[in-house]
Amino acid sequence: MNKSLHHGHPLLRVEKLSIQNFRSGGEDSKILDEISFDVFPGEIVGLIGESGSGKTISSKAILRMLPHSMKITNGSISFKDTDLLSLNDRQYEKFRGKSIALIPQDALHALNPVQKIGTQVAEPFSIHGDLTKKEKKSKVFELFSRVNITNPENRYDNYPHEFSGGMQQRALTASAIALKPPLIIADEPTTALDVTIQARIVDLIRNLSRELGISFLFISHDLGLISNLCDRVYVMRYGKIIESGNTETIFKTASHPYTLALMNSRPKLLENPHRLTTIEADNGYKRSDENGTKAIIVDPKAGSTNQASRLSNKATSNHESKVLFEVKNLSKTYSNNGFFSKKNYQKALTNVNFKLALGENLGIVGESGSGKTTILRILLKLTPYKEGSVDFSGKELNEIRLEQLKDFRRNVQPVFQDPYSTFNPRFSIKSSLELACKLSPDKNESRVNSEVKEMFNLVGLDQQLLHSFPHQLSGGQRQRAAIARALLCRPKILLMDEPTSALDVSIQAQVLNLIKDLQAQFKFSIIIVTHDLPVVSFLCNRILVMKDGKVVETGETGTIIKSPSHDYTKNLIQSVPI
Amino acid sequence: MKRINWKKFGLVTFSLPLVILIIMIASMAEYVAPFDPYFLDVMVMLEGPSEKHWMGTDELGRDVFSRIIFGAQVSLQVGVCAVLVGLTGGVFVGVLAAYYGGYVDQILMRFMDIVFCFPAILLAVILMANFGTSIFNAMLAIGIIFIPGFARLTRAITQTVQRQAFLEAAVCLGLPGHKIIFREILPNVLGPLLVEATVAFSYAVLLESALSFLGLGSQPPEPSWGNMINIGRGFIDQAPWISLAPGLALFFTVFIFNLFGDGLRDILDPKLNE
Amino acid sequence: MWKIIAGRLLSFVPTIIIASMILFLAVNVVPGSAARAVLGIQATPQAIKRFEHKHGLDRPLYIQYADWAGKAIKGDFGTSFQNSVAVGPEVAKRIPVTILLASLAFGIAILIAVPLGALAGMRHQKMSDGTITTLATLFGSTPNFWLATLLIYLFALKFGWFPTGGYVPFQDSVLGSLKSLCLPAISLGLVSSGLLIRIMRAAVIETMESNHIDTAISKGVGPRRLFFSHVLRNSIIPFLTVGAVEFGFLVGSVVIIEDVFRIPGIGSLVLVGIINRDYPVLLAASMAITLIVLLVNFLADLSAQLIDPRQVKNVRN
Repeated sequence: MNKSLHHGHPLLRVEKLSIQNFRSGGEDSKILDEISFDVFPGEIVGLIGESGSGKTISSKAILRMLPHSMKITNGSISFKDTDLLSLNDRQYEKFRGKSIALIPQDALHALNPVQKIGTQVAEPFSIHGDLTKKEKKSKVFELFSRVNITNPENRYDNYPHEFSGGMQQRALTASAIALKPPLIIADEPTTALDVTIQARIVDLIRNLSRELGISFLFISHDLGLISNLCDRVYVMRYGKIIESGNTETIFKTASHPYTLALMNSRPKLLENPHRLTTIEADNGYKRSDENGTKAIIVDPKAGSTNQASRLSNKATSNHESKVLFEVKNLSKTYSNNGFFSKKNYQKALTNVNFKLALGENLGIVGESGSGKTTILRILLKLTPYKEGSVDFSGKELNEIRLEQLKDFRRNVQPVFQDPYSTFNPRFSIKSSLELACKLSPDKNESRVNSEVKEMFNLVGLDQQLLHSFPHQLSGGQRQRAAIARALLCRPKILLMDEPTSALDVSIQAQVLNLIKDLQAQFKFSIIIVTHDLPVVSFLCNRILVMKDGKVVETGETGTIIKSPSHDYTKNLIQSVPI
Repeated sequence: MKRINWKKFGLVTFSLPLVILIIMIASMAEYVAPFDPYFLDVMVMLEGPSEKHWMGTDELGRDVFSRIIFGAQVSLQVGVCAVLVGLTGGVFVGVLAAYYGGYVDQILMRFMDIVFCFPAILLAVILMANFGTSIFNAMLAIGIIFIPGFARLTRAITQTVQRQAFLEAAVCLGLPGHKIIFREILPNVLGPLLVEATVAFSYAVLLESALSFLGLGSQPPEPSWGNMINIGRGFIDQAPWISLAPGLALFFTVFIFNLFGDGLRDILDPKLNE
Repeated sequence: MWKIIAGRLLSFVPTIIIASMILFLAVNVVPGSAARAVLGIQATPQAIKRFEHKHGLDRPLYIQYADWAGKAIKGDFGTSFQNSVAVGPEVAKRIPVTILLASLAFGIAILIAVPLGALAGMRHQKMSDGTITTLATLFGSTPNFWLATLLIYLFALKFGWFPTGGYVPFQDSVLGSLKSLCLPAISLGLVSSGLLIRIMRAAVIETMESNHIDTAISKGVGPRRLFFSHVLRNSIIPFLTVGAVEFGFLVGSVVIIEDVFRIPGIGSLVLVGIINRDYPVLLAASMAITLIVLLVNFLADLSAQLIDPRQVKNVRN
């Protein structure tokens, strides 16, 4: 799909738009700095950027749904021939839904939970027209079929919680196309959805654009999605448009370092470089919230860089093949216990088997509900298990107590998904890190201080941040600190639950590189749980694919990805954009 | 580094000086009050507000203003003690229920829920009838009534904290149980508890006055806002100030402390810290 | 739907039983006081012993409770210690009065709270929000017995618009009845409205911050439709549940207000029972109040569950 020609008049023209945030009691900040972009009839335009780039604010400005503190200080927005900024609020109401519609972010919370789906999808008709109830209903049925919602009679009367995430997104799409608006803004419509569902939503949008001739402004941080779907692309950073052009052209001849880094900072499914390209913090492209983060230096004491670069994704023969974890026939059933409610059983895991030896890295992949997080929690001894056996270094987890428990804890450390709740907000980072030292093998009080400082340095954080409180650090910084905390007691294995999912793409790359570098230095194994296949490909030599609590496929990462045997694995691989 | 939103300190800045003023007046009643609250002067019974007696005199010739100041002492004392009793009991039960979960939690909270259902005044009145009418018993009775509320709050927050990653990280670091409670859970519970305690304090002051009003709290001639209002009722058309003045003091005190609690809530509300 | 109702009823019954036990315990914590209250301070130990034996107060507590509960279920609440009149009928006579008063008061509270709370919520962080919130704090901080005294002074004594107390039965004169309940209802309702304003405001704010409001706006929904179809409907549910708790506070406060205005409801009966240490009366009246509160909470929870489609689903499965 290569619509690179501009057909005359643009549908939407944003010219030199500037928006400022006026905060009472704080600094004012520039959100958008003279942004200009166009959308022509019949095309799909992508706005790509990380958080803070201003892409979502741009879409809100077009719909006049900016938060109260933000004001447009310059520029114009015109649709067809109307100057949108000159309209009053009443006129704008007539505009929304009819001329420009929105498919919102976060499908799971964007529908009114106490109103029927049918009513909500029919709402545009109720506002902008004069149809009878019957007519509205039949229109809704039409829309349902366009977005592939089957069984329209029943589905009309359902409430949002009776729809899956993907179906909720389709319902939102349905109400957006209801009045066949010339332009639809899709604001990150696939976040919070599983990978396989994401792919289907993208297909849906493509089809709708073709069938109904609707233009789309597609906003995302996911390069892969954008390159799949959009005809033209604008790359945004810090409220400015850095680069723009046809999708194909951009991806072949991107000139701006940021765009290049964005493209290359994502790990690939196969043939990953040893280190991902990142926007190094001290290269002049420092993010405003990354003050205090420095480029990572591989510790010269740990061995030459040679050794680090030789660390391929194979288990090195230097290490004994000592088995760390051995899981046999592990099953886990959750029941809700209550005096007054009927017991509800949910089987989270069924007969899971795998082994992990020292020096190996395992990636557990699956979508939500696959049970992957449950496995991790059981391995961490956070969740109990009754059926099956889990061994750590030959000892059954359920039988580890007291002194052995201390050993276990020292050797098995977690890194959690949510960087924002991973530190106790009431204590400084230093204080929280010192806690970890209490576990380390040599409990020397005097060395605690220097140990903490050294580790902090190694994860690329500035000493001044040590004395700060968690809320003063960015997400990426907190995650680095969390890794430091985990490594302070020199564990044999790190268990990570989606450690980079909550981070921006450029920061993800930094943290992934960090993990690799630290592995080279401290020689720990990792088990990483994620939905993100390329990450597994980058970090792990072995992979375990889960679906609905069962192991679907397992083996060497490269082999599985090149030739998957199970259908589900194939599906997962195909859903990865690019 | 994130910016601080100064607006959220507004209410506290406004109410804190008044709060401190009230506390100081009450604690230094002996020095602030112009007259002895028990001093009878039969020459000036039922006199309206004047230069000498700012809020007039009551039916026994006592200076109303002085009695109001000493009444503040009673009210604040009961308030503080009741809240302390409620906090101790409530936090203990709440943390226990959340920490152990399962049946312990279910049984404890069911019990708390039922006690919570009783109208506070009803319970207070019944308990006072049993314990005997005195200030100390009022503290105890009101404190007991507060326990379920604090227990519920503590439990809810503890459960929220238990879901946070840092708590699980602490477990994985091998932190022993008591350290987890005192380092990870309690400091995060303190904030909302403080807000609740302030509101409970105001309510305790109100309850104590209500009890005295009904004749079940402090007894005359002890100066307490509640019984002053009650006795004043009998003289309402001749000398309305006997009832209305202490009531105004009560109203003002409760209002200021409630504003202070609102202010604290503004400061501690995590949303406003962005 | 009937499944939900049945399920709720199932947990309601034990609640009532446990509540009655707690009440019974609370009333009987200190032994001996009943006898002394009735017979006077001069009573001899023998007289006290005889009194206690006559009324079965010397038996172990659990037997007393079983006895009382057994009779209570059949409607027999014993006779007053003071005057040997049957307690049951007296309580039954007074219940409608209290319910009328409480309903009027709550009605006033809702009438004030819903519009003000919704306004504050919609204008969050603007001037009107702060003003209304402060007003809510003001209302909630008002001591109801003082307000009652003030109202009597102004509107009954000075202006003479309302009686200073007493109750005109509904059957006799509707207008007179309402007039006699007006000041008491305002004393109760105004204070309750303080908390209710906050609850409504909080519910509206939370709704306004939900993503689905943005979705609605993006479809072109205007302010009026937004408020009535989206905000109000979603805010009512939490308002109901918490509002019911406030109703509990209100009903408890009738104990004071009925005393001030000399209204013959259950509240004043509780007080009579306390002052005279008249246990059967106290127990029955307290039980009645508690029952009303529990019932209202039960109905509110039930309605919330039935209205909220998310709850209905859980049972359908």
